[in-house]
Amino acid sequence: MSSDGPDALATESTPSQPEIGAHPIGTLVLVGLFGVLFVIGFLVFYYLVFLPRGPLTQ
Amino acid sequence: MKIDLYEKLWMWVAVVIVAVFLTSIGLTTLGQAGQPPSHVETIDPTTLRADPRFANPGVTIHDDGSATVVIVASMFAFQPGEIRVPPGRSVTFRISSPDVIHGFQIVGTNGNAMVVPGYVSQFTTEFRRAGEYLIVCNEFCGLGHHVMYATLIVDEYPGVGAAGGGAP
Repeated sequence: MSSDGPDALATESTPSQPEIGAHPIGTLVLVGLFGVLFVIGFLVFYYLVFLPRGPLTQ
Repeated sequence: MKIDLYEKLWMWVAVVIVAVFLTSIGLTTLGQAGQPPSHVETIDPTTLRADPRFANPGVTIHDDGSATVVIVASMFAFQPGEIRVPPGRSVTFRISSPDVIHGFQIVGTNGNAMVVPGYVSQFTTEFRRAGEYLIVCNEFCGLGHHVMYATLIVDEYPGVGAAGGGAP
């Protein structure tokens, strides 16, 4: 790394910064899939397992 | 403040997910008039077995067919080790410990309580399906924790008919 001046570091690191908004589409799909499965999993267990077992009360 | 589009999107998704979960729980709790167990009753653990409330662990069947089960959880057994209750009837469990913290879980049901010395854990439930259920301690309580279990038998009780249709 050269140290020619105060702007040298900024100039060198700028090209490696990812462009804002340029997320890989695969990441979006994976996170979306996680969210959908998470919600479906909760609702399935809640409505088909927990509630049919009957409530506990005071 | 500049918020990235994706960040804004996932913030809203998280809010919607939490809203869906809380709405589901709230509506079903209100619909079923659910009251989470919140019984608070203290007892001296050093004199637990002499206390009239826990001197005779076992099942008591009331006139309306409901049952109260008094259980002492101690290292490393539940007393009584075999519990028989009628199906389709309200069953109230009252559990306490004279020594350390234990767990009380009726496997395959929502029956689950922590048993803390000095307190009486209590919850009421109903068993619609007749059968045999395993009760385990699910709080590590010592070297014999893994052998601490009991059996719950849901079956016709002498003198008590099944209510609400009994077993499906």
